[in-house]
Amino acid sequence: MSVQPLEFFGRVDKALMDEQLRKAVPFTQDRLRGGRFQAADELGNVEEWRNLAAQIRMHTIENLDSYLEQLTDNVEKNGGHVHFAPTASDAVAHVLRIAKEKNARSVVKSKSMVSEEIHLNKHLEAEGVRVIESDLGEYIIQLAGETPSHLIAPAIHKTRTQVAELFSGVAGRTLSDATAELCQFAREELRREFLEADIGISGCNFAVAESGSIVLISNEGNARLTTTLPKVHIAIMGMERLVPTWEELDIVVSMLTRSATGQKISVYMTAMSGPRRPEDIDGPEEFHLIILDNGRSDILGTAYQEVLKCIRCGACLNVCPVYRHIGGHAYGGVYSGPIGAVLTPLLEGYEEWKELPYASSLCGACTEVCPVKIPLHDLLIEHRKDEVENGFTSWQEKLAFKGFGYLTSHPFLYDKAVRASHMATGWLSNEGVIETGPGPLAGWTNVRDLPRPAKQSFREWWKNEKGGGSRGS
Amino acid sequence: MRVSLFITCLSDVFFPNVGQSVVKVLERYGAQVDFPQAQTCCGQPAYNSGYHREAREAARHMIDVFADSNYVVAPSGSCVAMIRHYYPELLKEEPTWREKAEALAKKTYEFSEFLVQVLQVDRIDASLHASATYHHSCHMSRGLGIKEEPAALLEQVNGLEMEELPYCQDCCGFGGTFAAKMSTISEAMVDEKIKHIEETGANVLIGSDMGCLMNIGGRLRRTGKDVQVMHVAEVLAQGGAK
Amino acid sequence: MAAKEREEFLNRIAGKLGRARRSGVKPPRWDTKPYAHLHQGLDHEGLVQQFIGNLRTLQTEVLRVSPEDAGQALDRIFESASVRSVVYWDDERLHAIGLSRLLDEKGVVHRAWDTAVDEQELRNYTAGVEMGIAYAELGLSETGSVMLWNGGGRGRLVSLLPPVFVVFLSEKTIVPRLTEAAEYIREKVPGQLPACVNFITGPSRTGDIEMDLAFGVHGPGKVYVILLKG
Repeated sequence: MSVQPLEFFGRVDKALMDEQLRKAVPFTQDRLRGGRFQAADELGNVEEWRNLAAQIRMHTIENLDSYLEQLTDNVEKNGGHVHFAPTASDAVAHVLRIAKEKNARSVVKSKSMVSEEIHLNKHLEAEGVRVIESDLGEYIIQLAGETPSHLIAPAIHKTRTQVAELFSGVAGRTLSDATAELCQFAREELRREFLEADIGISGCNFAVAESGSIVLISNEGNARLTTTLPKVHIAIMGMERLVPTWEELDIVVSMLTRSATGQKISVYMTAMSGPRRPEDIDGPEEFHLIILDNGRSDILGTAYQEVLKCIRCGACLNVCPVYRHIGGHAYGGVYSGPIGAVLTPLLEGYEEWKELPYASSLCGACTEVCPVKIPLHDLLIEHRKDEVENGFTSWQEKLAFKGFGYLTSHPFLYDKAVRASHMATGWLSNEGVIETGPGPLAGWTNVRDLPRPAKQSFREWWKNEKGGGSRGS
Repeated sequence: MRVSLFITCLSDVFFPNVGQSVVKVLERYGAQVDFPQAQTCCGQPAYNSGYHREAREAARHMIDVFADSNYVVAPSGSCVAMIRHYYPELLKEEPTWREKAEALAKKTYEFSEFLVQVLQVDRIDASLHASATYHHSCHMSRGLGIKEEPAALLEQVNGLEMEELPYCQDCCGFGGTFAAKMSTISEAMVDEKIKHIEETGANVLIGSDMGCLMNIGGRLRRTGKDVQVMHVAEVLAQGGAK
Repeated sequence: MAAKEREEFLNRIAGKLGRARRSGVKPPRWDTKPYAHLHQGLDHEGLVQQFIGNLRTLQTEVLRVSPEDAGQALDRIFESASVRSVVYWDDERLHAIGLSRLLDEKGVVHRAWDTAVDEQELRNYTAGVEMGIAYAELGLSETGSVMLWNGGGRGRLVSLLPPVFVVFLSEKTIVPRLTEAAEYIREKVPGQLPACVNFITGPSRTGDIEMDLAFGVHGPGKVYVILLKG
């Protein structure tokens, strides 16, 4: 449960007025979606890939108990420890317990959305453990005290000048805003942290059940440092983030990198199968895998089950015209864009998140680009149906649509209503245009003109011109 | 060839001229058009807003209205998408209605789709001297996969210069009730759409969905922009031999 | 793990899926191979050329030499990179090339990843050198990736801590793409997978600052591949 300082519409307004955000998000979107479409063109048969990836993910979800059993048996065979976390606080408790056992003073993290989902950093810091985010984008927003605004590129809303200010604050000297200098600073600063951290915490892009492996996809190398230097490695994994074998891993990784940025593969793909072996003198001595449910199992067996196929590529964010204009923070939760609009109410309920499923024009761009064919926009409609059935819509709206249902199934009345519409709107119109509408119409007329209903509707024209209809009611 | 016209609520009430153009064009290319007066609305506003019980009421009625039609043609990608994809889905729990919904879905066509694929019109006889750009509606291009047909028809119109619209795959911000419910976001989307329209230098915007055209047209008018908005049918009904 | 914890967790999943628990499920035979057409026209030389071309796009130079001429390749690299000290894998393939002697000739300080020494001391050394050298198991033509089979004397940190990474690869071991690497790995499962397998494709990169590409923020910012012929 997150505490939002602003309600949804307040967050949206804030975002719409943020000039810099309004430039940064489309710029990022164009770059990333361009990459994805080019990668799809180069494959030549992306629909075949999507079908297979969707089948693989669906098969895995439908047999999740079996594959988790196999995964955890193999993680233990490799010498790792497995901890199950039905809720966010269970996951946090596991981490805190391990941190306490190790007398950990500092923890270095590589990018992990599930760790944001469980608000891990806050809890570690409350226990006096220093947490350092090592992914460059996450490091930037950690210094800024903010949350990620994009699934893949967390700090797209920050300018280089802002980054330079943040880094200068840490450096104790003024840094220029040149990318190379800022990256060099981050490299040196974080390298120190990596070498001294007691625990490294990562997420898990995919676990491979057949070998008990955790696979991490990254471009910077921080995920490798996080999971190699500290003596203890904790990986936190959403329970649905696994594949049966390396054969399936090939397909989903191929889709993940192309869908996220257009890359055929990330710079680093690292597969870790347990802690170091007896003959190794690097790598963690202890490996812990925390498997998180936190509401995911409640999605199984429901109309929303397909959302668990998600491989967290962010392609839906990159094509969403709504996300384009409001950015990630407006969604208010850890996950933004279309996937966020579908997933957040499922994990946390409608009370705090009732607007999210309506923040969409149902254009379907998300569904079209999703590498695992999640019918995202249809799931938004499903949410709207559930909100209606669970009393989250206003009585006025319910009444209006009840009237709609009646009118559209009673043609005699419908016909009368159409014929009356011109006269009925006389008082609102000026020269055939309605510029200020009452009630629900105001949302429309605040932004654009509405034509007045025509003096002669089509059906009236047909009756006059063609002498009445065929096959009446 | 007998064709039943499904006029759609927006065209019936706000844009009867679009319906008139549809009739004129269909008749010109060999169809005999009838208009079942009992038709109402496809139910999409209710469906999209989550009122599925009410959407079903509309759906069952419309299925009955067009039960005897051979072909149903509508000047709206979104209404056709509703019938084609969502009627069978809405009625999947009622086997008889499901069957009827599938039968209607099979014989319902969008206007451009019908002209090109069923009537197989290979020569368009129309003229409109203008520089124009075409707006692909989301339901038509993604929902129905109809992208080439409007262009194939428009490129034959005498005197019409078509410019491609940049970012044509991005939604115009209509989304039915979305435009009113999330009006500030919709405003941002339609303003970007208009920006791209202006980049083409076109003085006419052509489209196949009155929802989109009402949205973009209404904003064009509100912001004092001088771009005319026309439905494909209206363009094809222009000029040409009698 | 607590067996009870796991049982409850997995039982809940099965319950929500509306059925009894399942165990030992294997994936079906997938009926498509969407990658099949991707490298069909290429013979092995074609795959090698594609491998080299992909790395060139990633600012990574590939030096294709016979094993006897490995020294020349190193000369080329040392010309462009300013290197005073090196760490390298304790790997018989590197010994067979005579790497130690070649590095002596370059006049650089060098050490192998010797598992007999104190690990903190070796780590400190590695953290301070300019170059790490390893030998890859496989190359992936489609992406220019190399696969490192870490373990024992093949330390992970060698390809990670120093700012320059040089990797030897036999051109015979270049395969079309990840699919073949996955097959290779599956044959080693269970029991023969090391604790860490790395796929590395060019230098470390980030676009997190205004989507402006930068190299070497955490991993090596400069990578060279010495591709051994025959």
